[in-house]
Amino acid sequence: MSEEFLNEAEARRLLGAAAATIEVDDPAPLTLTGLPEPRPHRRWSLLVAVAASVVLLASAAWVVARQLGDGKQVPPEPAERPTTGEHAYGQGRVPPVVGGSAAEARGVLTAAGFRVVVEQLQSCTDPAGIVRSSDPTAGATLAPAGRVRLVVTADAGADCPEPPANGAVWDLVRQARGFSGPDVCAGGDCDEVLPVLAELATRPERLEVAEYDDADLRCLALAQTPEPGARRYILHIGWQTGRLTGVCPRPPVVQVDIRDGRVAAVRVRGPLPDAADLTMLPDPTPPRRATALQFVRWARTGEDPPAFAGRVRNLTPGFAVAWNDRPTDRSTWSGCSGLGFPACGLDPVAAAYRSTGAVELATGIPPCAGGDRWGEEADVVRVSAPGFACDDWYVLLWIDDAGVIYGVR
Amino acid sequence: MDFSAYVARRRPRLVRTVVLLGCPPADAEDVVQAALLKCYRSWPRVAAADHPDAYVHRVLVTTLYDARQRRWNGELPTGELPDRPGADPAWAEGVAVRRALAAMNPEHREVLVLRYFADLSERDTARALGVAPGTVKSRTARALRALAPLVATEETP
Repeated sequence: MSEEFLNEAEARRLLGAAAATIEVDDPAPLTLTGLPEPRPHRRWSLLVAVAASVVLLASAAWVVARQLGDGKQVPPEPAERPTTGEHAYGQGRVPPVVGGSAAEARGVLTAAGFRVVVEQLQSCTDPAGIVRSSDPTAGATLAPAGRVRLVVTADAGADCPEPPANGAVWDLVRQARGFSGPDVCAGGDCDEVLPVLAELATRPERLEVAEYDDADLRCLALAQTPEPGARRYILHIGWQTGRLTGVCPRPPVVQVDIRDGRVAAVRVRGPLPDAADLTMLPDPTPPRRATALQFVRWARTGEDPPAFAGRVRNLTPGFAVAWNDRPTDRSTWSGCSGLGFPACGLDPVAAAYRSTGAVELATGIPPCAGGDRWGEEADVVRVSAPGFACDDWYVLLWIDDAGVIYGVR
Repeated sequence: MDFSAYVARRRPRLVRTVVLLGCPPADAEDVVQAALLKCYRSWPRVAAADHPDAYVHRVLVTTLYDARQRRWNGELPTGELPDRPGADPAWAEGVAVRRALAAMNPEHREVLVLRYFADLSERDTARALGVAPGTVKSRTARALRALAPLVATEETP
């Protein structure tokens, strides 16, 4: 190795030797259980949500629930029950209600000035009467008397082969949120887990519960096999919806092992959430709103482009071009990686173009978004379908005070 | 190619690729999983393309750098390189190369790993890194020159 210039064959050999020192577990058999084949324009998140018996949550501010009362005495909280880390949202935003009963959720939402519509979903795996999801999700802006749709679990009766398997998981979530119910925490790790669970459950994203079997556990943080006879559930933010063998949920996750209907072990895996990421920013200013809506109209029709800066930073992952000097030319935004995949889903204009109907505007970069933290976050307007979820389409626009777009992702 | 088949075949290599690119081994699986998920969503188009590997590596590199910004800032922690008792010379050489890569300019490391471990062509490496093919060529030449003495030093401590 004394020559000054390696030849390519030698470089290959050396890199191969280096790689051989990296141990990689054999992947689990990669059957994509419960998933449809990917389709370009399909919101597979919805399909997965049903297929993988995934449950979401993001529950209600228990303080509000207590104050409301709905006529019942709420049992006093145990002194050691941790409630720090929850997110509370101000006026005009949807409070977190997932994990509560339908009555608890209705009370919280009505008190916040919203109307409630309940849909029942028969489930063999979840106990009846629990709010699994809300639309819009927690933290979303909603006009006074706006409608919140709750999906509440219902008993599927004789169709179910056995009692709901993950009742204890919901009990844990309810305990973390301060809803009434049995104390399922046996101490120990639970003290660490409950505040994290409450934090995750009140984020403006979807918290999901999925059961994982042995074959799924080879992924990064979950490689430890559950105790014999236990079933393992993973609670995580719905950055990726549902269970995908070989593809793990993003940490942090809360891992719950259930045996004989009780919590046998519980553990937080991955770094704890950074509360600073979740600061609620004020709604977009009128000039920013107008520009963002014009961006959507222009993306959909090609007419009347919004105000762009002369050079617009292109922060879309996969783009080769960091700056766009012809931003009003829609074609300059397509072809996400320069690799010949037009409208490949990473393209901001195509994302808005393919969407239909109303959009929701909010300030800031979603916590679940990777990529560059660039520019002023207060300038960022997130454009998405109503009831934003991270695995749906969304576009981020960096818009200055005067309503001029200077960054797009 | 079916997504499952692709992942089954490529995943270990992708994990090694991101480690060689400077990702801590503990995070490598996670980065690869995240990248594959992104690819899964566009898989019909990716699979139909002439160079799915180029696309996947493009996403992989982007995901890696996103993760780096969010979670860790440093380069490859050489202190964590695995030691194997018994003085296996092939193992020692591999570790030496990893140390050399870790000490290297990231741009040089990228081209070496993508060209000579991921086996991407010059053109595909350029696509994966978002640079011109000529840039890959010149970086590669410089990287090969940079690697030689580093490896030599490691071999004769």
